[in-house]
Amino acid sequence: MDAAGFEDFVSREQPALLRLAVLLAGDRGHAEDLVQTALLKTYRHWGRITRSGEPTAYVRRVLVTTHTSWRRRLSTTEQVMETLPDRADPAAAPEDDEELRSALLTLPPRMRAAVVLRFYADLSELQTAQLMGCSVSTVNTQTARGLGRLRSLLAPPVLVPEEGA
Amino acid sequence: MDTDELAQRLARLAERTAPPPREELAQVVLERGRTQRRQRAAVTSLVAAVAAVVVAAPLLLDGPPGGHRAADEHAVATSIAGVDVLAGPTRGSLAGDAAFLEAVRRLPWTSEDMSGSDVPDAPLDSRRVVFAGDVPGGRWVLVAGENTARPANRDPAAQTDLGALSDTAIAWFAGPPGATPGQLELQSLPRGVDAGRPAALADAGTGALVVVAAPGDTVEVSLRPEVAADGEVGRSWQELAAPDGVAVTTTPPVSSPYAGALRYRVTRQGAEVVTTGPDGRWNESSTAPDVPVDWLRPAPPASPADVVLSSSVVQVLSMLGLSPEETAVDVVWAGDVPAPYTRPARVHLFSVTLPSGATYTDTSLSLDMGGGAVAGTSCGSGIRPAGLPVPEQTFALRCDATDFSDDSGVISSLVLVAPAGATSARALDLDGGVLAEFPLTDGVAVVPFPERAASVQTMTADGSVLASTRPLAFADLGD
Repeated sequence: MDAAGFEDFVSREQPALLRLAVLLAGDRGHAEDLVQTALLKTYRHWGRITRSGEPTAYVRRVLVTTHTSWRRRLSTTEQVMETLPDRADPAAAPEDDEELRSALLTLPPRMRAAVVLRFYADLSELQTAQLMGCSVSTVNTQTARGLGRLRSLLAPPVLVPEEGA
Repeated sequence: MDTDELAQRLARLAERTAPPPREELAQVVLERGRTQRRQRAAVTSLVAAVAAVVVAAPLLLDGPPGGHRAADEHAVATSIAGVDVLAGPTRGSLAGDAAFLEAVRRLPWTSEDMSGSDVPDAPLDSRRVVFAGDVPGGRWVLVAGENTARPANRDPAAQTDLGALSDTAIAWFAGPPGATPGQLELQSLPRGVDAGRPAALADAGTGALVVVAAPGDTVEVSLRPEVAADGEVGRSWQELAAPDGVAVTTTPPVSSPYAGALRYRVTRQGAEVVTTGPDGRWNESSTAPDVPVDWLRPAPPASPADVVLSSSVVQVLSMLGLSPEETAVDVVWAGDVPAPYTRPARVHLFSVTLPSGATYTDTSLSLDMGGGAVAGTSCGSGIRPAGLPVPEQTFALRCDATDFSDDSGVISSLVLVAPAGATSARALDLDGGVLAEFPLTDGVAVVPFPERAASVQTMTADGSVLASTRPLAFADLGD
């Protein structure tokens, strides 16, 4: 297999994959786990993938399906060898970023993936469905539900007048 | 919050919280990939044992001495592109029978259960017979032609099957020994294929295996994964004679309906082209073996969903290539978890003790859908080294129950099964922070899965930690 080509590919794609993964996975450790797992699966079929299609699309699909698999577990058999601190430095985190991160984590994996792919990766419903291996209507449903849930979680607090005021 | 604002916030969150790229990541992945390949490679000392059980494989034993010719990806420059394994004159023992070849070329690519717009039906003038020959227990034919089922959307990113975009499709036909063309039946779903990639068909009932590769390719076969006492998984490989790139051999028939453990590997100019399982010819004469199981805890009230247990056990034995006599199966626990449906889902946790003493643990989550239908999935699996007896082991499962529709909600449960001495447990996050604590009844608890739980500790009544375990992931059999 073309190891040099694979190294170039990893060097080129790693930052974008990590950004997508951190939104899907919710924290740095799992994002690295996810990216490494996806790259390992990609490398196993590297020759075939480079002959048959665009590896960027393949690894992104593996990343998403690995994350959204019903059977994905928090610890996989393909662990990262080391992980960075689990959370970003809270001191440097704008409050609304942390709020969004927490809200995303409350969404089930497939719902979260649909929201992230539609509104972060800017994919169409069809592209999202193809990446997730599901129907367009499922993407539509999951996105609408996810959006609704995020809106309710991220809505400004309603000020309730104190009794007697 | 409108969608534009959400997009901006997501972009900012991704930018701020993504881990920094690691310069050494590619090397880490390459090394892990090579390590896994080495683990799958031949264990030379076991080759003789494998050869001994291949009692009806003269061709298998005719090949050069076994052992994997290590493929050093850095040292060997291999050109796979441009090699068409399906090209050239027909191969196989019937290649000289022009009338037979012409008749099989005309066989329809459809059958009662294999048809539809997504199934290629190569135009007759595009078809060519790649292989036609007598094989142990039958007569097989491989025909290639134009792939007529290529998707309208040619974007590679949209494909779930990398062969879908190929110009070429193939179809296997099989029949009894001496079959006429009219007695041959379509065996595997015709499909688009990468023409550089070998094709293979196996019959679980007779043990026949045909691998069609390119002339000069090296073809090897491995009967099953071998799990050592320390839990490491490897495979023994035996090179097959492959004149003209075609290997025809017999492997030991298996009792299960499908040869799930069988793998073949093709190398070209010293570099691996593919390692995979052959297309399977269903063993119609097989009846699912009656696998005896020991229940370590009382069985729950009977449910129609319990039918999944026996099929799950058979499937695991098929994947491992082992017979019931070579293993011991313990049902560690069975019970219900909440599901977004009118009734709960049934979970079975069972452990198969392998010949080495290592154990293969698997799970099933099944839902009685009514009307005799049962849907099932898994809560994970794992391999553990020999040593601690199964009844003394602790298992944590994450079971994601759905109603098995695309739009289903998910109810995630943590199922913890521990020896009876454990009276409580706590779920921890990656940093060791306690997320939840809960009591155990007879060593068992089913609780809502604590989000971000990474491990579970069990404790005795006096608070001593008994065991720490992670939720089951996937057992990696190297495939």
